[in-house]
Amino acid sequence: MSEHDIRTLLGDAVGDAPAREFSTSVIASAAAARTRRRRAWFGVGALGAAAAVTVLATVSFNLLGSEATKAPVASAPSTSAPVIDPGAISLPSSLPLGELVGVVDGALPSGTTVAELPVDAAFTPEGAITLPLTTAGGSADLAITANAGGCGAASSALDQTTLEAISSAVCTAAAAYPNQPGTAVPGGGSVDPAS
Amino acid sequence: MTTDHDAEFTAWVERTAASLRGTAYLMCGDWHAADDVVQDTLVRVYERWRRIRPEAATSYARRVITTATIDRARRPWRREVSSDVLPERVAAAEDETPYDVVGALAQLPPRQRAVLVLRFFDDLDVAETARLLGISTGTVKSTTSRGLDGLRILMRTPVHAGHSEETP
Repeated sequence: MSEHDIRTLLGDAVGDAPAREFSTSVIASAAAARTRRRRAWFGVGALGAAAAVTVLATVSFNLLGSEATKAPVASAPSTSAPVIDPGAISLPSSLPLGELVGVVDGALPSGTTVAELPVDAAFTPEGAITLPLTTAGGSADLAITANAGGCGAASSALDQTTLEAISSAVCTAAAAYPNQPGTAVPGGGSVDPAS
Repeated sequence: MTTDHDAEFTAWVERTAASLRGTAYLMCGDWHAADDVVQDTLVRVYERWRRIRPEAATSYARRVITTATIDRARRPWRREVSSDVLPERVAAAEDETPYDVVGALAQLPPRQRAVLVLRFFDDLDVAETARLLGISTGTVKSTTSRGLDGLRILMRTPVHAGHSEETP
């Protein structure tokens, strides 16, 4: 029996196929149902995962709590002493660079954006910083100050209205933090931990 | 999907459904099972129709059918018993023996069956068959050889050695 014979036999075997129509509307409905089932299962899976995480977190918390209650009383720290934890990660105490870029970008006119920042971009101790801009005509610099004397913005590529808007937005953002931008953090190496 | 996409899909189904049904039937040995497999395959192709073109869709559909039929054969409640020892050769001349090619195919291991169907029913070359099954071209060649040998032996056995579910 040659390969040709096999081909012929296989062709003949399907020659008496019973009629069957595949309707696109039926297929579309089945596809939609399949998608719904998949989404439902995904939802069930997500809920299950969330429940598992909650249970694990509760069990861990309870175990840790029971361990803490077993600790000798003499070794418990005094609650009246100040807690100093130099290695702790703290929230930024002054306007972070990332937020500044977002604020400035939001106040810039269409077609002008803050360009890639140089690696050493940071507020000076006086609360000043220069941001590079990409404009329709090329590039430009935007000088920003935010300190006790107030906020300001200066750039040859932007009109006065835009500069005032930027200045106002930066002032509003900086006011949300206890320190002026560029304030050195005592005991820390980074002026701007969130940037 | 948009009406244009639906029209394209419908035209593609009309062109390829018969061939896909044939592929599925030869791999399953049962028209009802084959139609179920093809229906599921068409649903999957429909879901991806925006991302695939008709040429790729046919190849994708063949892959889905092959995977589905091989998986189906491996399910415990449908597992087929393959034997290393093929039935004894019967001395009868080939033209005296009624050929039950579907029954003979059903007795081959699923991968051999898939390779033979893809090579000799769908007329795919070795490279395309290898790509579709996710195996090497060398494996396709050796599997084809073993499959053909097994098929030739099985085709010389009496028809009652076949199975009973391939009849439409």
